[in-house]
Amino acid sequence: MADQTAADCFGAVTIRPPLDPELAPVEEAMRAAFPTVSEETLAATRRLLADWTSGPEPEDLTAGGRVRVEERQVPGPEGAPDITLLILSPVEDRGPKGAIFHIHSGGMVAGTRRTGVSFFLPYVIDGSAVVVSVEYRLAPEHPDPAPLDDCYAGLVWTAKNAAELGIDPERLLIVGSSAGGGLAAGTALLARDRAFPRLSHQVLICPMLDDRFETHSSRMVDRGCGWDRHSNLYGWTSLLGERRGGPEVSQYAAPARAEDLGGLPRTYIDTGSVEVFRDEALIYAGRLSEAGVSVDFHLWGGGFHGSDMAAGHAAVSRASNATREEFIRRALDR
Amino acid sequence: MAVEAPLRDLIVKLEVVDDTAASALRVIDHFDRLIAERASVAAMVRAVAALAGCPAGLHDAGRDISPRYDPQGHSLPQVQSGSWARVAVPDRPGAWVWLERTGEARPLDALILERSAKAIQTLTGASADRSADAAVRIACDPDAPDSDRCDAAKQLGLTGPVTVIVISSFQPPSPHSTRVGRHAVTLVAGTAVPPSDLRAGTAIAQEPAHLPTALEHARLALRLTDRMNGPGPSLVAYDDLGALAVLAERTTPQEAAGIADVRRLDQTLVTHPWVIDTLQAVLDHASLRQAATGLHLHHSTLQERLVWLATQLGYAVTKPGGRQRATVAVAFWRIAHSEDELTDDGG
Repeated sequence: MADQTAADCFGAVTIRPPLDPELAPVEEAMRAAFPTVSEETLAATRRLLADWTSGPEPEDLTAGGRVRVEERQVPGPEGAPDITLLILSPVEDRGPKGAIFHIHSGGMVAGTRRTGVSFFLPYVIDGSAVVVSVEYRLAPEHPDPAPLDDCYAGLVWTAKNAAELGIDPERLLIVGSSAGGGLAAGTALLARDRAFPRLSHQVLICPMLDDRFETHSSRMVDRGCGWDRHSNLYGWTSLLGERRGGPEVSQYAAPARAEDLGGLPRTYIDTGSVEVFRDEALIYAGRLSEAGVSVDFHLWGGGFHGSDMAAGHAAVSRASNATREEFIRRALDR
Repeated sequence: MAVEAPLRDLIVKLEVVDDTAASALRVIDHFDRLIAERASVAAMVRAVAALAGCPAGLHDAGRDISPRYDPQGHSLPQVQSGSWARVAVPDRPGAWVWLERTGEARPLDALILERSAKAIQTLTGASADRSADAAVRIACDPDAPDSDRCDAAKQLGLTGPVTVIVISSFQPPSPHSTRVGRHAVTLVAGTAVPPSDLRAGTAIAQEPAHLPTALEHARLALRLTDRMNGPGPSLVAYDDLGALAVLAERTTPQEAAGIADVRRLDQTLVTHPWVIDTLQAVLDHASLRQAATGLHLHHSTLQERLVWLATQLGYAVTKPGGRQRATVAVAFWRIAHSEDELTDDGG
């Protein structure tokens, strides 16, 4: 099954809505800069993503000295190596803060604990949160359940050390975008089923939830739009190997498979109308709602995968980012 | 929410890992695609700011728009483009794009400006707006190049002195007026006296090149007008103001509202709406009897009002020092309320 091509499993490309006019040139530039992810391009993709968050002008996570940046080695899953947590906390302490446990993007196969973390820096700068970003092991070198187990181990350590971190355990958010969104949803399911820790919110930003490629949107992008169906097939196959799409995949690895979504935390889910994850996000939001979970769901017309971040200046991105920011602010309110 | 501007990163990184030629192509493609997608002019300006990594703006005097954005796409308040690097929109008099780059220009700045200016030209239609409204706005724009302003004045047939008449845009505009910002502006050749049934500020430009200054002067004069049919003048010419013009020039409405004598007037007005009219009538007439007649009041009623006012204000308008103080206070009061919604039945 691993050597199946995308065309074998998906058939013809399905129809897709148009991009927002302001996003279209950015999508084009991204398509030129980033290859479809495959075994051949994996090394280059990892380098590109790492460059993105560091050079040529390295980003200043201390925000000019207002943020304390620490790295901690903490126990990993049983029998596995320690994991590294990047911890960002406000230098000026103004009492207990909420916690944002962050899981980075990168299609399960790329990215680091720094990828996309600066997006959450404003909450640290203004003293309302501590951000903890986990360095989880990547597929295909470390297939399922290694990435998820690392995320869960990091979350457990964060909750157990809430007092030392200055965190109010009642305001424990898990956030992630793309693969990080899928891992966040899976980690939230694990936390529910193991009855620890208690998450207050999950924020799933264009999450990667479903390995089955049965939805309309999972088949509609052949190239570009931030993440195409070939990259997606590569990401899932790297994580699950032969099991991808079959009956042996756990609900924690592919949360779209979970039958019981009851008892999950207050949820925010967003997605663009022109991305492969659109339908799985939409269906997950609907099913959470049916299970009695309080859900905010936003489908942004004309958005592609990651356009909020790649084209933050565009009007639709501004609307999306502002809406999500308001939600996170409410979640962090004392 | 984003701390960084990743689109700029895309270009910066291309400048570093690629070469500048590839980055230049990326800029050209970006604007070409925005044109193909029929994106908005605002989107174009946001793209300029995001690609350049610094604030950017478009000023289009003819269409009376000045969108301005930071690299994250936040809308910024309108400002004059001043000495920033700018490129004119081709075939659009009084329109240009600018970049607020502090420090040295970056290699792609000129290209970004040039391509965006061309893109805005393409997006805003095949030919420039040659309407009289556009010409009035360009002729009065302090920031527009001299040549554009001269061409606009010529198009309007203005060569010698011009009278600028400004009314608040809250008032119904006359068919001959043009909306410029929050005002309606009429340009009349020569030194015309406008009809008296207007609440307007006026000023004279001795030649068309001085129109922007005259417009500013007429706006200042408008601040000192009374409502129509009020005791004070509803039509004020800048040249008649003399030293009073300096008050309006140097004091913003917010500052004027904070002056203690103005605050006291506002307090008395809450319960006694006649206060300003009464003061104005007393100040404008040689005797209290004439003032009472002008206000359609009995002489003794006016006396009672003035006694009460003196206790409220702490000075008497009928005394020499008090008269001067009241004159200045009422002028500042008009400035303080000059940006309120002006109506003809109220202050």
